[in-house]
Amino acid sequence: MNGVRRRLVAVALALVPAAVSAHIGSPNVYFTGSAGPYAVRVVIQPPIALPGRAEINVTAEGHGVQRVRVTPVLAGTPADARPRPDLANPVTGVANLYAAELWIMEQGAYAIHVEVDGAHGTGETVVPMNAVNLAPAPMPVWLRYGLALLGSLLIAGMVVITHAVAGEASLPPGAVPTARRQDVARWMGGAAGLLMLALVVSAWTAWQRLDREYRANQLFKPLPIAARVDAVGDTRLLALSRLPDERGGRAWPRLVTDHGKLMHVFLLREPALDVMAHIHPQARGQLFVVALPPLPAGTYRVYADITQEDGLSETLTASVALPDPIAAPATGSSEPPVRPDPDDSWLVASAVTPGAVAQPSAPLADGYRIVWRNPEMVGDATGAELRFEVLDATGAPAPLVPYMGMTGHAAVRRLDGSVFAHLHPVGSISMASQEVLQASLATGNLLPGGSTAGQMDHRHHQMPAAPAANVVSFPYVFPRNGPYRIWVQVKVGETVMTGVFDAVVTAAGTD
Amino acid sequence: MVVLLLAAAGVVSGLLWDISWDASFGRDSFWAPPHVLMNLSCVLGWCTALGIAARATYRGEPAAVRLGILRAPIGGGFILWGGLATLASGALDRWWSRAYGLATSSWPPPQVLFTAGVGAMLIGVLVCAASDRNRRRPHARFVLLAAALLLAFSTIATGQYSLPNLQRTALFYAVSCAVYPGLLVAMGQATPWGATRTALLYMTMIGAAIWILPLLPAEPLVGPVYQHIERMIPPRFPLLLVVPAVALDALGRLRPGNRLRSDVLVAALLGIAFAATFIAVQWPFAAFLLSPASDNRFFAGGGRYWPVYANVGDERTLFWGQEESPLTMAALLECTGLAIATASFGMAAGRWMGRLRR
Repeated sequence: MNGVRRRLVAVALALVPAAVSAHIGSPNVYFTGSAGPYAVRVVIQPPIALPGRAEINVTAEGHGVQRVRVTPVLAGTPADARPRPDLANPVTGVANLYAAELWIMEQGAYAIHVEVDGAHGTGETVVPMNAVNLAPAPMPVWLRYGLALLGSLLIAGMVVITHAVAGEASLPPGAVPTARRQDVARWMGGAAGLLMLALVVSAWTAWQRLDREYRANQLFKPLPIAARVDAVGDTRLLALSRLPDERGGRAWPRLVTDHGKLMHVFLLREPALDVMAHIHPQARGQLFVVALPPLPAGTYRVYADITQEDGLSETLTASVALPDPIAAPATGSSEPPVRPDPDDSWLVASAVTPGAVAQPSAPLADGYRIVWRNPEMVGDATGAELRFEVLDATGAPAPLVPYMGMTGHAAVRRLDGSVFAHLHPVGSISMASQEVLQASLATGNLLPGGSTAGQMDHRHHQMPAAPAANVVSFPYVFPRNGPYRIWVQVKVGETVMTGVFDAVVTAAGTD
Repeated sequence: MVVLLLAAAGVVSGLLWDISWDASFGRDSFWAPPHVLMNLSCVLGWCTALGIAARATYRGEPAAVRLGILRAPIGGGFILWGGLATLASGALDRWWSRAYGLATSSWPPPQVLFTAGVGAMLIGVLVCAASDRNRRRPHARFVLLAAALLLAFSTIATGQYSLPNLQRTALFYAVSCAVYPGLLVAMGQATPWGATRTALLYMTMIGAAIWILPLLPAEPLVGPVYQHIERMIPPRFPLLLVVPAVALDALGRLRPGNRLRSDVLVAALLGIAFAATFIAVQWPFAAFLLSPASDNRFFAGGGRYWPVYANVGDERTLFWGQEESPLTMAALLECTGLAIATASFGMAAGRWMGRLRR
């Protein structure tokens, strides 16, 4: 009854209308990195409605870890307005695991400040978390039936109580009501029953209306965007524009760069999911524009990852029809209007076949191949990361070099489109958010300047505990059971290579 | 009866403590002390009522009524019903808060059930006390205590309309006229100067909370912290219901002749008296409660006390909502009409309580 009693404190908490969440259908936050001298792995289950409670699990390893403290700090909160840290409790039976509940009061980007105390002093890190209203979970069956039973008892109870109030209650003990009084009592009892039924019906109607309004107005909605393809010379240009909504017009919010790019776009050809491109549009006035690589024609789903200057990260989606590539003119091609980004990459693979047995190995370019080292994690509820190994044509380990500052990038999509996530070895977080929020935590202010604030270079980021040079891991738990396609991108030498895997998840997490 | 009153007092004081706890720490848990006090009090009251019902059923007690398969004092029936409603509220609220958060609606279903449940339990205790008193048992004063607890709960349940900042809106006066005259008139009918004594007891209870709670240390545990505090936040100063209560008691002593006409006339008089006196005293008193003169330990006013998670700035000392809900002549008539309707219900309820023997 906490909620009821809190509501009795009459305070109208202003709701922030612009609420966002990164990824699609995958709200949990995964982070693997370090807090000073300690290796940490953090999993956060954000609340689905605000104010609400987030669950945080921290695995802290290192010499003499004594305690773990966590503090949720809304972006831009000055130091004197932060609550004191909460002690995370050790979880019995699991070494090095600490758990706590975080109270999240408002919508927006939160810096989850994790502090680890141990023999080497205190180490700290920041994990970004978006706090937004998500679709309400359905009511559990037991609660449905329990409430129906209690409701029936309450209606019947009110009938007999009213009957007694109008009947024998005011008579002397032992006296029998007259026939007329009994009639009145029956009528009153019946009227009470009808009144209760009317109340139940009107409460039900009000609830349905509230639910519709909540879903329409208070749930997170990513910024709406439109995508179109223009042919300029022999180049197909993809242009993304922001559509006006209640948060603003066509101007984009101020963005910060992630891995040196303001926007990361994944294009997936639907429904076969056989073509994937990871491209990086550039800002051109009110558009984001990129020269498309030679992708075959078709209908593509666009996933555009951005991070706003206050640390909010979100995945925007649109659909776009690509025409066939344009043949180069005989007289030689002119200078393209927008140069392709050197970090753009793409793959044309076979169509996904639902239900096919997953292959643990996928071919890469130049005879290389990528091996999924733990495909069994899709059927193991304790599985917490996807781990891959890259081998050259002779089967020898192939040393990986950073691709946009990371050992690898992965994209995960449920075939029906209900889940999409862009992952890195540090987890599911936006590293731009992490930098913004780290700075915000240090200064109590948000970074000034947004997209002009300078490029964020993640090459200096602390990587998870020294992986073997040809192995890349992505901390992640699939949020729902079902068929998925996974693309893994690595860089060997000067070549970005993409491997594709299909999997049917049977032991999803608890998103 | 003593146990039932203890349970009722536990529920109301637990609720006052809990609201202050929530406002001061910003968060709580199932095992927070005010929750424990409140939940145990509910369970105590419910189990006591169930025990009384079981005994009355087993013995075929004549001073009881038939409630389906049970026999129980009619007050016991209210308590049992209220307990079930609070149970339903608790079960629903856990899911509701996670699904919709806390800011979706001013009266979401769990809150309706909670208010109905606790209200029914407190009505049950009052009815039990009245029945006991009517049978010449030695607990006549318990009726006043039970009524004061019910009045205190009514003011807490309608607290979202009665912030001092809202005490110049028509809505505040409409809610007040629709809720408080019923109980005060009933008590005036049931006991000499019953309304006045009930209102005084209510003001003392809330006053005690205002004066005691800030003695306890507190610290905000959620952020952003908008209000910096070191002591628990007191509730708002009670409404000046004692003034209209005196008027109701004085008018309630009128005993005109013709029954039907006099009932209508007396109800109209009582309703008008309540609306007129309440608005006349609370309107200026609200300004005092927002002024620096009330910013002290006694009145806990001056716009000082807000929940730590509430982002309230300079508007803390201003009146709100007067444009949306102005107290116009039409609104005054509406308030008076509501007060008359509630007063006539109170007269009927008071007479019924006066006859109650079971």
